[in-house]
Amino acid sequence: MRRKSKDIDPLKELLKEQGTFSPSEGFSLRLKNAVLISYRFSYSKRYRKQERFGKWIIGILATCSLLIFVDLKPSASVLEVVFPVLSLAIGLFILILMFDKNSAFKS
Amino acid sequence: MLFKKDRNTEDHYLDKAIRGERAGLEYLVDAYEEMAYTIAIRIVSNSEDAEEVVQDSFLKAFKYLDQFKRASKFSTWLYRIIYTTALTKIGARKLITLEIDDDNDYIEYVSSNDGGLERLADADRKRFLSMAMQRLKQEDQLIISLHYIADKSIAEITEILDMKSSAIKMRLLRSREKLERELKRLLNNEIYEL
Repeated sequence: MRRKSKDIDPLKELLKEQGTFSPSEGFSLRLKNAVLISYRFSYSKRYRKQERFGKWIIGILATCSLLIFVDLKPSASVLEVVFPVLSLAIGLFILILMFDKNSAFKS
Repeated sequence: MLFKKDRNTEDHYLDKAIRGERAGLEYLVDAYEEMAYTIAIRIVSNSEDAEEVVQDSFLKAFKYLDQFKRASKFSTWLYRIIYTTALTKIGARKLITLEIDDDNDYIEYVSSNDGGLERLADADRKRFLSMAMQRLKQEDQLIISLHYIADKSIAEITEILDMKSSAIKMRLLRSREKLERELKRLLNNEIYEL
């Protein structure tokens, strides 16, 4: 107990309590936004090559799947289901892409 | 503000920040923003410039976060960036370290056993401390802040300020003595107002 009270440094306590300064109101939020925007930008810039490589791989895989599908010679009834599903998927992809670009411009 | 953080927690959030996750970046900003601002304002001496220095330093730190080798703590690395950015802001290579006459005749040293610090009223503590700190040289204010507020060791302060450890030790000792003397002098003069 005695050792504990001896270890307490009043100057240190005072400095910790009153020795810091706080920035203006709203600065913290501004700082976080600035950090997030700049980091997101530099992060995507840093991994641009890997991102492109990934897109190429996805493209090749999708083409291969389509070729296999054509090679299987699907019947007309199967195509009636596949084409609407495929066009829905492509439409959704374009919409997501458009939203993504819009949000990037806003931030 | 966080000081004695669990290293594992910090590493966990640091990893998240490196991966670009919002939680990691926000944790690091929350944890070090106030101390970063305190260091900056001690050098540039005005709030607008200090905020600018803090923002620039955080942006720099996060830009090169993936190159941070963890040889030192993240806070030590960040405070070093803040120190150099603030010096650039004021256009100095190092802080001016002119010797101030320590033999102030008016300072009456009061015994350390009089419990003087405890008697400071809460409302006036900050004012007294600020007045006493202003009596120190800028670099000494920084050393005191880093050691007693940010819990930085002599070795870490050496790394941040790029000074010899013997110089840091000597300055820390002298600054502490002077700060105590100043606080006690102010206390004696103002005790009746409290």
